Amino acid sequence: MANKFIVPDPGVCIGCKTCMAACLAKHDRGGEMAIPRLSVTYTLTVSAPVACHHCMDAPCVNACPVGALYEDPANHRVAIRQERCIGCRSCVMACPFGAVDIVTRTEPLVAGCEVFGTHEKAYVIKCDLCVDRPEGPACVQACLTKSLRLMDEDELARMQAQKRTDAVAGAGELSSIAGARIA
Amino acid sequence: MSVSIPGLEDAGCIMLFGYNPAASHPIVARRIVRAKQKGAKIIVIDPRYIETARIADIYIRINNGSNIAFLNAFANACVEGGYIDKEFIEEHTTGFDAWYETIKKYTPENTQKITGVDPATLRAAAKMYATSETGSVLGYGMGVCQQLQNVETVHTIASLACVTHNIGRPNSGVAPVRGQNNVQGSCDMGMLPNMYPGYQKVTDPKVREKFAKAWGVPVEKLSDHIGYRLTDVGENAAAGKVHAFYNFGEDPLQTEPDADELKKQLQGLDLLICQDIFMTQTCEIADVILPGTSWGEHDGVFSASDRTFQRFTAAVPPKGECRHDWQIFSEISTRMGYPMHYENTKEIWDEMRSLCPNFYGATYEKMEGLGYAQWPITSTDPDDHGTPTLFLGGTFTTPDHKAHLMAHDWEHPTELPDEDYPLILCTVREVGHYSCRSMTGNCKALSVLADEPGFIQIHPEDAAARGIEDGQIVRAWSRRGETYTRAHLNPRINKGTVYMTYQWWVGKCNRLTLHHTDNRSHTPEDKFSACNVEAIADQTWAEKHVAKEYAELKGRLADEAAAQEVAPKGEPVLA
Repeated sequence: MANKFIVPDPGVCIGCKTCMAACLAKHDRGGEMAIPRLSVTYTLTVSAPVACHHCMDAPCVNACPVGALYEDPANHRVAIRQERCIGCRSCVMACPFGAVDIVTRTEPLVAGCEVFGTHEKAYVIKCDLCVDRPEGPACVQACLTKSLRLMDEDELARMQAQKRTDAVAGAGELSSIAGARIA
Repeated sequence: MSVSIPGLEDAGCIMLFGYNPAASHPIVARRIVRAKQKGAKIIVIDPRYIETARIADIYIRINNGSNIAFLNAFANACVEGGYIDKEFIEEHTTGFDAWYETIKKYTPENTQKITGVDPATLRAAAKMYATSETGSVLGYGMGVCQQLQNVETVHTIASLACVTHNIGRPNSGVAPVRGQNNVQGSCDMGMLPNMYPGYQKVTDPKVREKFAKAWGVPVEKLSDHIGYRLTDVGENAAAGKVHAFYNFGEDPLQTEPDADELKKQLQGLDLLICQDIFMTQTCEIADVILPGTSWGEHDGVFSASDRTFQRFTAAVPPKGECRHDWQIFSEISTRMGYPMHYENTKEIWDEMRSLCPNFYGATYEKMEGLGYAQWPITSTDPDDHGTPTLFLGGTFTTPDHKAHLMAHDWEHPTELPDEDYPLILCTVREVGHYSCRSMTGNCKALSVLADEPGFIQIHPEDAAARGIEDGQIVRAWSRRGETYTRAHLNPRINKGTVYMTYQWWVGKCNRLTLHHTDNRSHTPEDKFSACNVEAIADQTWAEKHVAKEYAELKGRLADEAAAQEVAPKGEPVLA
């Protein structure tokens, strides 16, 4: 089963960033960073959020030297092992969508019950598909104009089938045999 | 507005003029997306390529400050194209000939140098707006109201809707939106210097008698003249005409133009009272602060821009010394010699609607849960929810029940750009933060998405000419003052213009804006001031500077608020 990913419909997006606020609120809890995992991006003519595509042969996974990013087929995504991240930012460089970020936060250095000081702990910040959220991704649910959807293998196949149908409908006009056209 | 917001979805054509719903009212923007999905034509006329422009059938980039010239030419094109409804004009309007005397002077060609609009595109838009079979809605916002010729533009828009018969029938009309949450409610409830609740004039002796009788006071105790407007308080204080100012739920030092000057003026008052839920910059200079309750702590009724009353209820009880606004007003009134007592907001509401015929049918019962009531609403019948569309059949609220057509000549804005101040500054909204930011700035998620020192939108070519890169801190200044803020390079705006949102404390655009009001609406010309912007070479210094300014301001406000952090003993101070 292929990975899933979040896709916007830029025509319907109104650039309101409600998806970002919902994402931030979902991750605003212990052990996580209160930072949105998708960013609404504006050009002259397009407004739409950009998020991790959960690539099937993910450059970030291939670039990560310590296995902090890995393919997680059970959850149809590219997942994160935060404890392994060393903050090298290879994933940031490798991602063709600009959808991965690294941030650090000062945390206590603990051994047993002893605190030895503090250190900068690095975190990978990118879409996790909200797999622990029963209602599905928070951004999809929050979107005012239903611009966002969770794309999976079935949905992708449906889209492809529709496109083929549309394409072949026009091809009928090219028939070399009289009578092949249905009036 | 003459139409209802849900009804926008069924309009045949929606034309937005100086209104960016995606930033100001995302819920309205959603309705417009749905209207488009249902087949409506969309026209957007704005100096910026706003979000809705992306789904528009026709987008017209208009020069800043050219509204009347454009609309006159638009009306001219409607007449020239034969798109006007002569029968409707004859039966339901007056003054067409005088109106056309002005309109005929403005052609799409001779206004092009003022508006920057291609005549063919203007004509195509006029045809699309005026000939929609299911009816057109003309929506406008602060891009109309915060201009020098604001009232004139409103007249022109209403006349345009009348001559094309895009008012007085379903799915068509004019849709002015309000600049703030519940501004409609404040006006409906008579929070205006010239009106009692329900738009009943203070200068009308019959109205005064009615209210005097209901409130049990001699009629001469009720003022018979129009009071001062908020936007004139500063000047009036400086002139010695206003000595005390009771400021309630506003932070004028953040939201009013020429803020540095206003601060000096307000500091000269004998008495400044602020009633608020957070320590704002205006509270900081107040003599007395009365702590109110927030939207989550009280109940009441909001009015939407489309005249719809909606009830809301408290989620949590008030904290500490805080009282509901109506309780504070009642107690002050009692101490000043007029005993005022209400048990709850329903009592106040019922008294109000008994005095306002147009609101009489808006009972609390009707607004229970997700219920609503849209004025005018005279019947208390539980199934009557009021009037979604005004003026149906072409019956207007004038004495002769006809629309009076009005046209005006174009005038240029007050402060034009020049060599020293070559950029036009226009103040706008951005999604996420709201008004003076005292509420949204205290919301963690919204602060993470956008924080101080705010942003100045600048065209990439203007930025390149000044050596400014996206995200850098820049200095912006005008004849009034200066501010430091972050550059946001935006190709969607006109060259030669910059845009700032008015909620940033450090990057405060109102230190730059011109304070000029018209003599009818007294609304400031927030959409047009001259300014300049420059790069700052030492960005490390700049970042530290804005961080320091923000920390100092927050520190000062926290120190001011600290005096109240005393656990109340027994009864609150006011009781």
